[in-house]
Amino acid sequence: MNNFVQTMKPRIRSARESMYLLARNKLSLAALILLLLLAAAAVLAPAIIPYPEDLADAAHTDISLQPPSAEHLMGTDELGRDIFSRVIYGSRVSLTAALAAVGLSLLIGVPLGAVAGSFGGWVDNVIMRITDVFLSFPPLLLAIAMVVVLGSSLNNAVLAIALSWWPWYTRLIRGQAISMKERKFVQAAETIGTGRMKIIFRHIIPNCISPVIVQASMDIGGVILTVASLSFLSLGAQLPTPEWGLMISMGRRFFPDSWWYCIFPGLAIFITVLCFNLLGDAIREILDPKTRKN
Amino acid sequence: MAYFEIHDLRITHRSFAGTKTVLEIGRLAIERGETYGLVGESGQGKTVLALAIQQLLRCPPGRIESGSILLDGTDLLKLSPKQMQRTVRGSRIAMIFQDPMSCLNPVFTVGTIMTDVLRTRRKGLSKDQIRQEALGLLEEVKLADGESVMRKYPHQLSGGQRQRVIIALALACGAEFLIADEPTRNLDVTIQASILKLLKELQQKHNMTVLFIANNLSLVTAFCDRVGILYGGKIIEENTAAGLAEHPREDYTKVLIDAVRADARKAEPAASGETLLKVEHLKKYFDINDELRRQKHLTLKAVDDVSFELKKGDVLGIVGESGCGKSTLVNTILNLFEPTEGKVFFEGADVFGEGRKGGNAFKKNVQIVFQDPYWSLNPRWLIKDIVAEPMDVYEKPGEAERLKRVEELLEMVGIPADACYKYPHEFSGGQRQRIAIARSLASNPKLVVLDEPTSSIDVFSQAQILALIKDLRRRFQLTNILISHDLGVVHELANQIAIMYLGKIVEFGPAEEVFRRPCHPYTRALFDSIPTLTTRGMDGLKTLEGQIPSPINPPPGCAFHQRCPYACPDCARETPQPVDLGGGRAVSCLRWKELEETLGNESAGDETASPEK
Repeated sequence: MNNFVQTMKPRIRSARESMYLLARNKLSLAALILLLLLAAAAVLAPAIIPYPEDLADAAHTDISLQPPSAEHLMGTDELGRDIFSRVIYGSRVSLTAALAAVGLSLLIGVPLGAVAGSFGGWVDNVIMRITDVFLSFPPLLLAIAMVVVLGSSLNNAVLAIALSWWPWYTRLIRGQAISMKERKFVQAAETIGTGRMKIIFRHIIPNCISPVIVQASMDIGGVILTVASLSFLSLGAQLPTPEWGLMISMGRRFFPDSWWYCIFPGLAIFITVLCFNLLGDAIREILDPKTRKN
Repeated sequence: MAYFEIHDLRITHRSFAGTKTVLEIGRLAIERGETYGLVGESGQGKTVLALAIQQLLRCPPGRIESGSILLDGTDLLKLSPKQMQRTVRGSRIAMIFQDPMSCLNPVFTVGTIMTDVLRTRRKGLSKDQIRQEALGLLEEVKLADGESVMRKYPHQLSGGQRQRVIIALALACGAEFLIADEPTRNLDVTIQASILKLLKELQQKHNMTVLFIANNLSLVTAFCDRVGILYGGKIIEENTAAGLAEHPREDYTKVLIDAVRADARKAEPAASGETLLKVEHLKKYFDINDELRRQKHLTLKAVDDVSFELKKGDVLGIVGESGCGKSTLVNTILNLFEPTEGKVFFEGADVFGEGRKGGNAFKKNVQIVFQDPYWSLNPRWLIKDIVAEPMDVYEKPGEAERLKRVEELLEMVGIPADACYKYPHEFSGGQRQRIAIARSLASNPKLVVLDEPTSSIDVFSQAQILALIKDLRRRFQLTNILISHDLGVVHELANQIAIMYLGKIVEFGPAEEVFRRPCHPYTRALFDSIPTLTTRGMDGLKTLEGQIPSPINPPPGCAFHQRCPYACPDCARETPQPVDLGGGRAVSCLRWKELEETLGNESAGDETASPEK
């Protein structure tokens, strides 16, 4: 136990340093706070939304398409459902979908890239040619094609996005791994006799993960957009799930008269994506050893 | 009033930790035509000064608090950046940087770079005149075949050639004050001597004033008229070169001098134990397919037919210029590269012939300490895991046992046990090198390879690391292979020495013998091109002309004959085989006997030839 505390101490120290660096940039601090709020909203959604029954197929046609008011902060949709409740709950849908998609692509892409970069030779060739095939389709089209084959649902959309997204991480980490392979500590591990897989997973991957983390945090924004796009095309989340893209898709029929129907889910997408991009920049700054040094 | 003066200069640097004074110079005066040497280790403010003089210091975080820098009566700190650019920097002051690669734009040819500078500095010249001028300058810096150099890109030139181009550029500007910031740091010793000679010659010819910045005391005392020692941002001692070398006042200066003095050293006697490592006709060729130029199947002979034997307790120093194959040789012996031909026996067992299991036993017994302590430790691991890595592979001890052994190892190399829970970046270069040494001992190896163990840490720590290595060797009865271009380090540690040139061992023997009586012309040249504390001026240094030939297309016959001052026509035809001189010595030279008779021990006998850093 004592050992565990000792081991954690330097990690906490470096986490505190990261927070210090993050707090220096007001914009990224704001982005982080907003994202934390969003995450809190996503976790606590069932408890904080005013009209939980509106998440499903409830219909209050008497109050359909009401403009924003004190009772309905973002107005109501054509079935009289509270848009505020649906947007808040939508953060849960979007965030989980995006995290799952990016996480899944990392899980596929990172080990493949590290193996390709560290082994080189024919292993590298086989892995990279496969990624090249994937990279030669526009990711959105590839995802659409896969959803069409798998059937439209949010889970399938996530899977399709992950399958069209991983080659980017493979490419990124392969380049890093190639340069990391030449580092002396990897050569030292080789002379020591450390096993090949251990070298890849304990020496190479931890040292080339930084740019991937930056890329992934920026990609979360992009994936949220893709999930929304697929849902907009009714290939992702299905009615009545309160998904942002799906809501915009439904609301566009009532635009611009009932502008709130489209605008508020749109704003939610916009702010979330912006925050993730800002956070990505901030993480880049924290992970850059040059800013770390002073 | 002197030509160049600094009064009460104070420069600070701001960071999280607060504001720190990095440079504080009360008075510094350099007369016209003088060579002033500034010596100090990294982080003592040398480069800050060089940059401040040219208004190139980045502010913030730097800040010039007070003082004046006078060049011929003009205060450079009062000039606007525009005036500085137009009238001083690049026209009256020129700078030669450490790394000649990064200050030549890689996308332009040398010709373009030169004519560009000439066009802006000498207005009104025609295209043809500029070209002639550029050729003249290249000739002045002794670059043979200026026409072809002009057509080349910087990466096609060697380090020495690039530095010559930079000097030519400084001449093109018509600079009268030259700041040389460790101009020879990345060059080999034989090239270093010729560059310094050239600088001295041009300085006298053009009556230039030179501020020479270096971290090597013997280099500075040989090259400069007066020397200042920079420590903690202050000039703590200033004297003529001879005065400083003979009567240092400050303790710090004495440490610097001790670090480069050779007479205190005594090479160890050869061991007489059983054979531990035997290398037989080892060859490592790399295939290069240059399809772009349609020259397929070129072979780079990095290691070409090397044989030697190492006894238990021996320390073999492998010396040679960069690119001579010393690292490839060791990496091949360590089984990191597949050998092209030849055999290596470790304790009588064939290293390459064994299966995977046998190979692991070999790996356990042979460890390596790398040159660069910044990248030889995984930056994301805790020190305890780094040091324990060999144990985890071979013994897999329990957590408590593992920690205990790590603490013991750390204590042995002089690192406190609480270092276990720290990351490598929390340690200095010297401390990291100690940690790397601790790791290399964790599997109780028999042979430890030291790849330039002290070349990237500062002078203070160097001496301590060398002492530590010596001490550990005695305690564990280790056998070492030491790779170094620093003859001082080799002299201090090694009892056997191998001089390599272009993939071959040209001379081999007990260290004491080789240092006392070098036989191969290349060994002589190597020893003679290194300045010592007693060298005054550049005339005492012998230089090797010409570049190291490419190992892709080595010259026929003796690989050294193109640069050898004693080469005869036979040398170009016949490849010399190692000649056994008895007493474990061997030399690969056709004329070694004649040379010994005509030259005698002249180079070896006198003081200047004793090897130093």
